[in-house]
Amino acid sequence: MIGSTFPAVRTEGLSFAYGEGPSRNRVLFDISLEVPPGQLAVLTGPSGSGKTTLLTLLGGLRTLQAGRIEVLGHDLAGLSASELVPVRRDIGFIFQMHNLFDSLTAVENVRMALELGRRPAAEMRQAATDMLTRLGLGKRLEAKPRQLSGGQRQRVAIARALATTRNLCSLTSRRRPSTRNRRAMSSPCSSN
Amino acid sequence: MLGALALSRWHLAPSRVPLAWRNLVADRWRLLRAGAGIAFAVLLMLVQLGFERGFFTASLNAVAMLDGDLFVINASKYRFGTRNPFAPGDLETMRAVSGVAGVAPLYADWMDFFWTSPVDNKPHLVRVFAVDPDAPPVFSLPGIADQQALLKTDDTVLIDSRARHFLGMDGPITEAKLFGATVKVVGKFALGPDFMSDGTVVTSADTFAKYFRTPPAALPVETAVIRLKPGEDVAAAQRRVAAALPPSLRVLTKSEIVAFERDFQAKLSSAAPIFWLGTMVGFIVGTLISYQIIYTELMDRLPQYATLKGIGYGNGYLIGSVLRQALLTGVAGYIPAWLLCLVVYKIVGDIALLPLAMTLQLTLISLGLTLGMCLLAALLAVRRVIAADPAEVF
Repeated sequence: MIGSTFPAVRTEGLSFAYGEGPSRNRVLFDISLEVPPGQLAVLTGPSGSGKTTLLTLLGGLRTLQAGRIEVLGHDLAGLSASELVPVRRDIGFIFQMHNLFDSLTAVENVRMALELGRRPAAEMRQAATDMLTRLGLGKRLEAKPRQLSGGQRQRVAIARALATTRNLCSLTSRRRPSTRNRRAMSSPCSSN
Repeated sequence: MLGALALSRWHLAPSRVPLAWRNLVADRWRLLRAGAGIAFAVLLMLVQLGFERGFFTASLNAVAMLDGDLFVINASKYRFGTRNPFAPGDLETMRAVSGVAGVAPLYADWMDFFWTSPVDNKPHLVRVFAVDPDAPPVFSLPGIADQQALLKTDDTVLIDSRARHFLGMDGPITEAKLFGATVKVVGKFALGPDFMSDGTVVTSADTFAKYFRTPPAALPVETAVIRLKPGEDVAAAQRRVAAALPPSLRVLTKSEIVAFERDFQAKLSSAAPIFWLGTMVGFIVGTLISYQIIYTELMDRLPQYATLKGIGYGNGYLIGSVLRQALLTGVAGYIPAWLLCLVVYKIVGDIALLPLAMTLQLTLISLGLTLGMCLLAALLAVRRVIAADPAEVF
């Protein structure tokens, strides 16, 4: 699916604004960028500069207003909110607050993401266990998010993002991830 | 069997993460609160439904114990429990119809007989049935069918041990006054009051006739109970009897005479609407309670649901999960309420002398209403999940 002929992410003339009428607040002005496959890209900028907005657009979490986005060869322009849902399944997210389901164990949280695919149940269970083990959580598979430390929770969220897809991993964080977690993330992302 | 197997597999190694179930059992105290709230509403509905059924069972208690193949009543009678007799001459016509093995008259009165027991010495209105002790029993109830021969002595009665307490019929009693004359108590049966009569007295046609100063043979008959010869077709016999009788009389089968009284109770008395209104109040209260429970739960987990949307779950899955969880919550409230209701039925039934009993039908109706109210509440609350924006939690 991921050929080297097209970039993993490409935007052209991307603009975005929040609100309507006089309270309308434009945050993105004519952004064009390209990220080739296999690259680890870091987006920096002062707070309020639109980093999160850009990432939510790339991830199919928001409907496009103006400009073009191509993600893994999919054109996101003109897709409605419900048409964006399947697109997200190829994208791994790590949410700022992790947002793990508090009623599910670590391994179940990862399985939730895997179950969007069509793999056999046993294989998905194994993949979830493997991914958590790889991130150093092999002994905390059955722990609930409440029983995990902040860093461990973040790693479960990373595992959830990486388990489904090797295609695209987008990340935003107010707090910097710990060094160990950063190392854990970088390898599968850049292996494409 | 297969279902149980599937269920146990689902619990041991679910092929998908059972999100609804995990959400339900995640917090024991929350589950207890949710279950208690729903159980309260279920109990409200079960009590109303049980009272309605108890009312009907009580109202039909006399009709239900009638023992025969066909029953003849005055065509202008609008309910069983009101006096509207016909002339006894028609009994002979019935006996002459082919296929009829025997005809026994039942005499009855609801509004004229006052019972004065030695317990309080005050006259109370009672229901009186009079039978021919020599004819086959017209009531199948134990205590009447097997003791009616004792009524061959004049001024003797059988009384209802489940009559309301103030009639004194439940205690040791040998004599009382009926319609001013002293009668001897020769036996008891357990029937219970309905909503019109506090107690029931069964006596012989001869004793009954004395109070009306009429020869027993001239007593107007309330209901004629016809027994057919073995192997007779009931529907065909019903047509033959009806054809032989004047149109002023009606011939009913057992199920028809029960339906006749039930229809009166359901359509013409206001009992059914009152109890259904009570049940609906329970349903509405239950829906509001369930909505509050489900809504709070959803709001607490809203960022988590939004995240699921963010990783690619559609609204369909989330709505399904919320509805499943609502149904599970409903069941969690239903089971304790059902058990508690057995106790309530027993206690209230004994105090009010109302025949309250849990039945399969009551269970299914109340379970249906419970799941319905939880689904309705979940559908109202799930809008919040549909509106949840994954971009907000990124």
